[in-house]
Amino acid sequence: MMGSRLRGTALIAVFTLVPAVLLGQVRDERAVRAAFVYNLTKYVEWPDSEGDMTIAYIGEPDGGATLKQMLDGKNSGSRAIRVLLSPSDIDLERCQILYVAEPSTKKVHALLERVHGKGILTVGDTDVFVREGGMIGLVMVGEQIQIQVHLEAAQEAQLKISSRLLNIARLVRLGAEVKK
Amino acid sequence: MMRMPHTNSLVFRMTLAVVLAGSTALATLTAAILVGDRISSRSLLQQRLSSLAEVIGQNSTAALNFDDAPAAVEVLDALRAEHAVVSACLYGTGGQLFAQYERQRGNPPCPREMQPALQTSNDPTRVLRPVTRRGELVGTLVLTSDFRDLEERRKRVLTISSLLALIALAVGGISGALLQRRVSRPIFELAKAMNAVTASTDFSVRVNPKGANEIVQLGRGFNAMLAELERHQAAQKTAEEKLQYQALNDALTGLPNRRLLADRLTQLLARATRESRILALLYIDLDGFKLVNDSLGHSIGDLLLVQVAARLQSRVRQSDTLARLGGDEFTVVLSDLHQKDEAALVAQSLLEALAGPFVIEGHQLTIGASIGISIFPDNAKDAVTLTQQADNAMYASKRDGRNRATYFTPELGSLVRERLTLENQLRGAMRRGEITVHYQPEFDIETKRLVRFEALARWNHPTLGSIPPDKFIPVAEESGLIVVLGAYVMEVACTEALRWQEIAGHGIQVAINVSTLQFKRSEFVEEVAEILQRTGLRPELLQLELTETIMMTGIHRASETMRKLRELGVGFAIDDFGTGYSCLSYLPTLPFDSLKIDRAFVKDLEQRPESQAMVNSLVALAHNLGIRVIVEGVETVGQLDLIRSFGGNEVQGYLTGRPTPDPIGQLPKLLQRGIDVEEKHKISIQVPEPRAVK
Repeated sequence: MMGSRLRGTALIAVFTLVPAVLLGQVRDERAVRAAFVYNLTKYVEWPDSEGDMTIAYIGEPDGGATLKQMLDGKNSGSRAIRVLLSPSDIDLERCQILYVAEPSTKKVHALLERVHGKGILTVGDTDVFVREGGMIGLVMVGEQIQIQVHLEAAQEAQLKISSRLLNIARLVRLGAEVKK
Repeated sequence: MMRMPHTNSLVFRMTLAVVLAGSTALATLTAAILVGDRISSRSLLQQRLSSLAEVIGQNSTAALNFDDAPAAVEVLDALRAEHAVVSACLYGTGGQLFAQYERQRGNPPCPREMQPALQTSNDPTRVLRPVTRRGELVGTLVLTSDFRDLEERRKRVLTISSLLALIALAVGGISGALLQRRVSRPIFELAKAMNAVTASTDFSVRVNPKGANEIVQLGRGFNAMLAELERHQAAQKTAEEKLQYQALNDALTGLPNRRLLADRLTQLLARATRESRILALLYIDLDGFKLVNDSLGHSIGDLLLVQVAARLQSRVRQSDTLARLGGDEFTVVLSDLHQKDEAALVAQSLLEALAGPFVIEGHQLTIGASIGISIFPDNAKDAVTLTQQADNAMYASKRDGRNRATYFTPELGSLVRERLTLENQLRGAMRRGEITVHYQPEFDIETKRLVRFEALARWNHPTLGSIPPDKFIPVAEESGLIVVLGAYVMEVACTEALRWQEIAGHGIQVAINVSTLQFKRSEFVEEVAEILQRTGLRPELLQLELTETIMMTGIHRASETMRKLRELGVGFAIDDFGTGYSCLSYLPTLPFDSLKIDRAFVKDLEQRPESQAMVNSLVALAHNLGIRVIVEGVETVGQLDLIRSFGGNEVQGYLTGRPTPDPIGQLPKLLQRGIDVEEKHKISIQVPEPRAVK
């Protein structure tokens, strides 16, 4: 018991330190994305607010490994985070967050079709992702990761995104981009 | 127009009080507001900073979470609307500066690392707030403010309140002055009234007090004081009038006194001079008043004076002035005369007025008055002389038998007043032992032996010296004192004579002068008998010397008195024979033993044959009547020889012996030598002898 708590605390410290550590240094982009995903859980409200927080990862394996390493077992509020690197179809339908690290537009589109209307926050790491109907894009712009939000998609999934997040995000609409 | 009140005035002081009180209240209020504002605004500011930090912190969470510093700066920039916030420093979870906001350049920049000291500091201008998201710490916000804004606000408040205070003071001062004017105006008017009263000393003035209660009270008090002063003044005036009345009027009779008379007389004389009128001054002195006073007491005397004054007043006209000079002396000034004879008529009227008896406390008193009249301008032209003359004339009335009026004539002179002075002195002289008796020897020419001493009164006045008998004896006679004086001398002389008998071996008489006034009194015989009895002197050794004036009392009465005394054994000599009212016819009817020829016949006896004839005839006459002859004033041996040749029986004079106060000491020598004259008398024959005294 003691050991697991200590470990958790240490982990929190590591993750919360991440943005600072990365600032002005060589970025470990994958770690930053993981940290951003974790932080996103604080600005989004799901229709069901109980049970584990399951993150399904699909795509490039290194990113998935980093995500699992950093977030699996961690708590977001009262929810424990589970990271599934190779989610089954059922997993896909039951997760809270679907992270898509897939360059293929076709694949992305298919995935988004599958989870549409299921109350799952979709997160990708390209600007194409949001345009294809994803909800949040963590897009590398220059040396910084820009948060792009497709608000309508999130609303369709009955997810509430905090205005605070919206304040710093770049809002994307289908067919047109609206800068914050 | 408003005058600037003097700094010492009531208006100024009361206005000042109003202004001071107002400004003090205002200052206190302002200070209280400022202090309260400072306290509340500070706590408000801190509350505000706290909530600002909360809001800004919450708005910064996403920026921190997603590492968006520009977004954080934007959030912090929202503080620009808050003037109190000087700077905002947003730190990440590691304490590194994440974003900052500065209101102005020059504010201290945010430290790059969060300083742990800030967390415990209770600097009121600084708020440190952790920024959390869903229970997780995401950073720390530090807000720094200053009170410059507050200070400025306070300055504004102060400026406004100062301005308001100035306005309030001005309004207060002006309205206070106006209000005080209402208070002080009545006071000014009171002061004015007081000054007017002081200047005029007219205490009948009253003020009409108006205004506030206190002013009305002051005015009433002022009126009361004026009333008191007026009463005081009136009382003083009454007292002065009373004093003046007392000073000018006689307290007993209410008549004008000597002072007022002097004033009136001066005025009347001035008028009489102007109008060439006659004026008479009547000097009235009551006869016998002293007797009333002495026998019945002063209170009866006073009542008598009051009635006398009333009676006198009833006989004078309104224009005449009746005054009481003091004692029993009154004066009437008759100012409206046509002839001076009228004064005598008035005087007669006054005497008639007093003629009836006065009844006082059961006593029936009769009193007369002696009046002297002096006429202006005939006798004198001034008040003092006029009064003196009337006074002298009054004494003349007294001398001439009293109860009469006498006009002043220059012949009256001032003797009368002199006599009065002597009279007053003489009253006390006997008591003080100033009256002594000297004795002059008389010798029998035939036997050459001492036969008697004549007693002679002497007055040694302590200041006037030796007063001659021819001065004081007439005074004593006029005043009636001679009665007492005569009795006194008789008693002393009889006592003295008794002692001579033991020494002499034969009888030596004493001769005593008796005044007619003394003699005519009915008690005279008894008095002489008493003295003889008291002293023990044999009556045969007493010789009474009477003058020819005893005839005036009536021959019958005189002879009666003499016979009674002769029966006792007393002898008589007729004194000063030939000088006065000589009526030879009475000589045989009166039992005289001797006749004393006056010195006037002896003086030039040796030179004038007529004198020798007279003395010779007188001796013959006396001898024919069986009367012995005594010659007085003998100064020379020649005179003595002539007298002896004429048949004179006895002699008396400086030749044979001067009056001596000590007859007993002289007695052996006189007895031995007898009439024989010493050598020195023969030589000093030319020394004139003073008139013999009685």
